Amino acid sequence: MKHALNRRSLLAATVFATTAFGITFPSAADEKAAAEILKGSGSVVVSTWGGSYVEAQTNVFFKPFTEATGIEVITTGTPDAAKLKLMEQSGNVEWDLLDAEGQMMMMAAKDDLIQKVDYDLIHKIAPADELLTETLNEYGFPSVAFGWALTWNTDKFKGDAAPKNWADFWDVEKFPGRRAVYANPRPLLEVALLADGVPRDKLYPLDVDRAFKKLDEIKPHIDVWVENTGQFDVLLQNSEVDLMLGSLGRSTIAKEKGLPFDYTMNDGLWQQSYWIVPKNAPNAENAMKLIAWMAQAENEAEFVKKYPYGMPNKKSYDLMSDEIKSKIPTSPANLATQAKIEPEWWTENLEAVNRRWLEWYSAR
Amino acid sequence: MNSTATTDGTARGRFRGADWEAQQRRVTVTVLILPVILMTVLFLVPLGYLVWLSFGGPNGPNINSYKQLTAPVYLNLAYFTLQLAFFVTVACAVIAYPLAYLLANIESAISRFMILSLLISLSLSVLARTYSWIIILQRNGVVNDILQGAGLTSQPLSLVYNQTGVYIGMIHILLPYMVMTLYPTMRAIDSSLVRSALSLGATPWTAFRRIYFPLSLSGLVSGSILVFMMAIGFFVTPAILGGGQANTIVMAIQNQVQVLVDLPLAAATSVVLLLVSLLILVVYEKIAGVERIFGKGRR
Repeated sequence: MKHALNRRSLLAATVFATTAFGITFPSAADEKAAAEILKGSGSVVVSTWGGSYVEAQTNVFFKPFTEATGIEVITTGTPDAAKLKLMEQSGNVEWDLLDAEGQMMMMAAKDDLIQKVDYDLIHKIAPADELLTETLNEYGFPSVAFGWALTWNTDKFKGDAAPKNWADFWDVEKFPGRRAVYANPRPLLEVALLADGVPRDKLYPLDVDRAFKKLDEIKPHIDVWVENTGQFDVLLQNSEVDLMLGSLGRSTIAKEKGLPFDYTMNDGLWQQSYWIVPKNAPNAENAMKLIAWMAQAENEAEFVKKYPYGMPNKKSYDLMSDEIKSKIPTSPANLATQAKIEPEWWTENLEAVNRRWLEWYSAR
Repeated sequence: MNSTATTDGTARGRFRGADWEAQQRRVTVTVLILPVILMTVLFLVPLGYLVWLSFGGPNGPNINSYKQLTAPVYLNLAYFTLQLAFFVTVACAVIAYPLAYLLANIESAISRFMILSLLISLSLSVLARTYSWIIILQRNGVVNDILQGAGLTSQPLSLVYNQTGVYIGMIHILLPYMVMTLYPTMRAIDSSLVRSALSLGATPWTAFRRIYFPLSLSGLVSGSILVFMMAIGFFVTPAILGGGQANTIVMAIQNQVQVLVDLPLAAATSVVLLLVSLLILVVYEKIAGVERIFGKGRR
């Protein structure tokens, strides 16, 4: 909760600063102005997730950034909390910018491994009132928001017979069939509480006892526990299961490919990832410039054409087609039907919950 | 001085011998220096670092991490891992022994082809081989299609995303290692020994039991150790084919590193795993004689 307060007061301060001095910067519309502000030299090393994802980032964000500012972007291996810790401990930091999950950011901030985001610079490019406040953090700038969604096989459950919420997922008599869930307490605890009737906006602090009790009910009916998100694709392609707690991005792609699957945004969960900068990053200044560049609405609207993930700039949603917007967890319509996963709670309770989860999960 | 040195042939010879030995030693040391440095830098230093980390690293020394390891969950995971590795090793030995025997004793295009296929499967990615088992074993997979098509089963069988799937996958991946250690040992067995036993009146079973099997034992022992050690550390296959029903201690280490970012705890778990493996090696050595593994046999 400490972070939330800091974040809010910081935002208030920056909003005050920009209005008080009467400075109104051109919004992202003017890329030339942005390029002028962000001009620099040297390079920035970005640790991100590889594959077609980094390809999209390179084409939409990195290449135009290099052309506009003269700062070279080098992409490298996937973000790893343990590696970051070792790099900082040994004083040999190779990364300038990481595309980290919320929990990784929180833990890194707690361990004093990362530095505060330069919001002064970012707001010159993307003013505070353009950004989705619920995603901003003192130590990280939102990169993408991804979601979890109830997904089902449309051959098995047709039309109105489809499950509508997590209570249906728990109802093995009305919805018989093979089930898969992501084998991780986050978001499983949230899902269990939603199934047990906890309202979406009253999830936190999570009632861990209640969640595990509800999970006990469904445990014998889970056929596949997914360890690695890549496995979702295999399950979808082969119709291995009839219902699942799946990755929104992967379920969307499966449906578009024409596989017999559908999903609902109702009761979905979304989780924010963040750009973070290591404390001793050799090119921290360039990293902040790249963050600011990516915060422009036009760039974000372009990126979601390739990956329908949530973006922090509110204006970017005005530039998206309705079809794309419907797939994004943080678009205005979808925000209303989904719950946000709170990394603050998870960071504070991680150790206790993780131990209990490991015991529960491996007891058979 | 001159007279003794030139006239006493034996002394001179001895002197030359010592000289030669010293030179030999120098050569040995020179040749060994690189491997020793490599061993130290690549194995001992990281291992030392791991042990140091397990005792708290920069915040140590303490035994907090080892205390955490006594939690029942870790003991259960370790027990399951050892059990899994043991049964996989036994299964590999039982399947590989006759296979290697045939490959070693029958000269034909087929046996050469089979050796080639084993070598090829060794060079393929474990990840790809693991995922291909999903294609074969899944609900709508090849095996279930055939079984149901033939009317042998009415419902698809659960062959994967459980322990069955893990066993099938791990045995398949580790079998070539067992065959490839058994094969050269069996090739090296002098077939005239077995023939002599038979000509002296031994039954084929006795000849196998008292001549062939003891001679092939060194290959079996080294193969078992290799497979067992690899099985203990297996991660990808149980994680993917197990579907959450076959959790190993290595998966707990991954959890400690990636979720908890508790490096001392992960290091302590690794150290314990290493000690358990070494202990098993020692016990095995008492039973089977570890020098056989390195091919020294009886001097």
